[in-house]
Amino acid sequence: MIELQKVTKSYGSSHSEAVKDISLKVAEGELLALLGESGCGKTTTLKMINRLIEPTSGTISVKGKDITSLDPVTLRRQIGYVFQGIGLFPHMTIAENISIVPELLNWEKDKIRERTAELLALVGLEASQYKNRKPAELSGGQKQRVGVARALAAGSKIMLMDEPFGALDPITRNELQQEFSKLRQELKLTVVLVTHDIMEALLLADRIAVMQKGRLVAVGTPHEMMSLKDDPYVSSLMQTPRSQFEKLDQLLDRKDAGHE
Amino acid sequence: MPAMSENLMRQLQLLPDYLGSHLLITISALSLGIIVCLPTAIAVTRIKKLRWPVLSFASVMQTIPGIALLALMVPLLGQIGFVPALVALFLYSMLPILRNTVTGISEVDPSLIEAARGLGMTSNQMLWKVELPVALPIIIAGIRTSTVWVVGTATLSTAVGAKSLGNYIFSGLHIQNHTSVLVGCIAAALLAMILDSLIRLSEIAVTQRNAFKGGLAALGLIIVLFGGLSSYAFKFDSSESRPIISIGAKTFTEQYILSDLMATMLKDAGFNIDTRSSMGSTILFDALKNGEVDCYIDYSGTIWANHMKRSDTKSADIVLQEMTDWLKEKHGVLCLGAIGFENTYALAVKKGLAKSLELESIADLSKHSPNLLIGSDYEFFSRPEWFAIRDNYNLNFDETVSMDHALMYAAIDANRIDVVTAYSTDGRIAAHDLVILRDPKQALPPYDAVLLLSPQAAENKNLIKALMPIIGSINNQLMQQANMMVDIDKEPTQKAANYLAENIIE
Repeated sequence: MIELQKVTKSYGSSHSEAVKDISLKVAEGELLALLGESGCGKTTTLKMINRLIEPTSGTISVKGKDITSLDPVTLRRQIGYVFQGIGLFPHMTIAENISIVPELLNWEKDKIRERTAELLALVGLEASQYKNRKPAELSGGQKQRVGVARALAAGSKIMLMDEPFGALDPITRNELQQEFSKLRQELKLTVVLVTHDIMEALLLADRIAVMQKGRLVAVGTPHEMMSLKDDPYVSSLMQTPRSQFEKLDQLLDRKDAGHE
Repeated sequence: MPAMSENLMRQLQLLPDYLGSHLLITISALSLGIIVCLPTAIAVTRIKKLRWPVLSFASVMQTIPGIALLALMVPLLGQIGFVPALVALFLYSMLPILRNTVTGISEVDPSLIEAARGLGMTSNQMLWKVELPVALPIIIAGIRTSTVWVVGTATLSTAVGAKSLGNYIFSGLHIQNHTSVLVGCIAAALLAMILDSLIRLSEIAVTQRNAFKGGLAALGLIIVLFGGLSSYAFKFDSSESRPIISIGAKTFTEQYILSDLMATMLKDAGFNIDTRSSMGSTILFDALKNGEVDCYIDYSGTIWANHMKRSDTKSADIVLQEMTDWLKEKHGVLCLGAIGFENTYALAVKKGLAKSLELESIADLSKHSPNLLIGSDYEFFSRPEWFAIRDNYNLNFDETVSMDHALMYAAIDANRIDVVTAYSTDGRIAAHDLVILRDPKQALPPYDAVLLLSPQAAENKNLIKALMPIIGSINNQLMQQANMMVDIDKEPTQKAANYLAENIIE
């Protein structure tokens, strides 16, 4: 569905390469997590897929087509995009925010209205209650639901997500992650998710691509990542969830012991 | 109290004319400002290189005092009235609109821009759907600031020959008619507040998408525009049948009276007239040269020193003759003749001071001058006459104080200054118990009042015939009497003009 071949992005002098020689494939219906520390090039990689950033070299294709052959605006309207800042437009109502892309695509008014109600229901917001509100009246979790609805509005099957749940409190984050996981399986979405949260990557992704200093270090399923021993960076990354699991186990054990 | 309300009624009768003109200038300048500045500001946010030059230009325009900017437009555009006022006020309106629009757009949250791009908006769609709506409150705030400034500054367009609410203020200040000043200030303030509120209401209507409020704002704007401009437009219509003679006047009592006198005489002769009072001295002369003003009263010494750039002093007859020839040859301006009185600068002191220091002529001042303060109007200390008397009589005053002419008498009354440069026809010389010091060396040039006609008016035989009775008919005493009626007795200038008219016909 999405394929990157030897993609490099450098800024100014060729010495500062944000992304170096990345090749990746994302299959249809797959959720690929791009995992790494901040500044590792994961967001740059994501933004090259919908041409918010143009690569210095290499090719990217979406649905088998080289994206440089497509008009960037048309391309972006076909790809859902959700990011941490959400970017709901404060002067528009919730319904208007969701219907932006359908309107850009000149859908009929009735169809847009129907679609908006359908999407609000899909992300768990009561349409009659929320459609005429302004973003400022919503909680962080509700805003992000609207952000997801907006990205899905035109029926695109591909979603790019940049730290979408990063700014939410742990309970809301967990709830949204679960719901999103269900949603994307129902809709058979192909998703590229950028995150620095190892747990999020492990829980949501079909495959994880680990990046470090602009390079792709390893790609594999969550299971493969946990058992990968030969790459020191990846195994040090996985050390964090591992020790968290161990700590949790201990806590649970001790609690059980107390009952006995 | 009846006198007060009579005065107020008289002032309010002028309101449709002044307010209509004021509103027309203000709305035109603001519309032009918005039409030019919004696209420019948007271009500035797209092309960063433009930012510095555009905003600097607007800032510089803003730092020029309003009155100077207006006055500069007259020689630059070669005309007086509506056009220079419009251009100056337009330049004045630019900065808040430009700066707020640029700031508003460039401070739109970057995450909104990223979202807009990510959703697939084109650069144009981003501008109209995101950047402008999000920046709207800041843009509107700029337009509102501009509106208030322009309404206020438009009062100064009186000085370049465009009628405005400033006519109340200028003439009121000069003839000490406080009702007139207040009417002008209150009308301008109300106009500013009403326009400001209507713009605010439109903004609320847009952001809340409230059709009722939008309709209300539109209705308010229509009422203000039609109410303000209708009398004005009507006036234009009715006057088309007859040629309009434009009478000019500078900013002091005698000039207001004489322009009223000429207006009365020309109306009686069947002319349709238009009065442009409170104009700057050089602006008025320029306007006469190019025919925008048809006639006004000037003074031989003013033409001699300011326009002919002569610094020598000749007898009154020679000055008058040389000036008449120079005006005809150089500008085609006709000097119809001397009115009869002379309004020269004269040094005056309180009678008590004259007695104690034994002052009779300016020559007697020289030894006392280091202990005395002299006050005058804004221009005198930079005029050649001042250098002439200073050097001829060896004067070395402790301090020279410039102030509004109308305030000089209060200042000498309160002993804040010791010597004033009075105008010799000023009724207040007698009223304030002052004596004029003689000028034995004739250092001050003669200031015979003369009636000047524009090149076009000079061809108009009927006009000349109608104005001819003024020539040689008003002596110093008569003019002083008329001035006193206004300055001391607070009579309207028209009444003083009528008094002159009655005494001319002998």
